[in-house]
Amino acid sequence: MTFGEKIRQLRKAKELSQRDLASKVKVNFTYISKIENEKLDFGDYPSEELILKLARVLDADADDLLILAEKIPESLKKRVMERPDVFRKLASLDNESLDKLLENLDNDKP
Amino acid sequence: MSKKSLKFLRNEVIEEATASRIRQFEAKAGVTVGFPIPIDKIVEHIWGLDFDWDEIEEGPGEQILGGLHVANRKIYLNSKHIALFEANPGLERSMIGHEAGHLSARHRSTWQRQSSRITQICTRPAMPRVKLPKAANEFKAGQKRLFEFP
Repeated sequence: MTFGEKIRQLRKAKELSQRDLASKVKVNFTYISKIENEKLDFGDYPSEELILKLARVLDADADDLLILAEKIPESLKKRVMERPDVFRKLASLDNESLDKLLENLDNDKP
Repeated sequence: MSKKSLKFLRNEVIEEATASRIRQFEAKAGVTVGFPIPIDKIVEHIWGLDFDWDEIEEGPGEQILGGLHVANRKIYLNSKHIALFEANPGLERSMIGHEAGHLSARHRSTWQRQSSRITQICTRPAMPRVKLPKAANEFKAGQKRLFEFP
C-alpha cells in the first residue's frame, strides 16, 4: 500500500472528506487530493511535521506513515546513529535471516 | 457513446435511486442526513468513487469542470476552477451527483461497456482534451458544462 492509499483509507475510516481532513491539518484540500492520488511533484512531498499531524488526526501510527512516505522516523534515526554497527549488520541480512531473528526476539520476550 | 445507448430516466426513478443511496449512507454511517446533502461522503462510501482534484486541459473558450473515469472509479474535478466551486458549493455538489449518477443501475452497463476505451484515453500522461460526447451535452448549466470522457 502506498502512502496516498493509506491516507485515503484512514480518512474514509474516520468519515472525513478531503476538505475536513485538510482543514484539520491546515493544508489546502487539493493537497490532500494530490497526496491520495500520488500526484505530488518532487519537492511537494509532505513534511515530517505534516505526516505527524495526519497521524494524530487519523489515529494512525506515525512511524508507519513516515515509513510509507519513505521518511525515517526520528526515533529510528537516533538509534541508527547510536548503534551503526548493529544496523549495518542488520542491513546485510537477507529477509529469511531477518524473519528468523525477529522470531527469536519474539520468543525471548517475557 | 452513442445517443442510442442512453436510456431516458424518469425523475421519480432518479429520486428513488438517490433516496436509496442516502438511506444506505445513513445506515452505514449511523447518521441522519440533512441539508446540505454530504454528496462527497455518500459518493465515496456508497458508490466507492474517489476524488481527484487536478488541472484538466481546456481548449480556447472551453470550461471543463470535471469528469468521470469509470475504470479508475474516480471523479476528476478541475482545480483550475476552485474559485468557482468555492463560490458555488451547489455547483460542485450537483456535478459530483451527476457523475456518480452514471454509475447508478440504469446507466452502469452502458458505462462499463465504455470503460476500456476510457482507460486508454485517460492513462496518457497529460489529461487529453477530447470532443464532448453528444449525450453529455444534454446537461448544461449556462455556459458551464460537465464533461465525461468519451
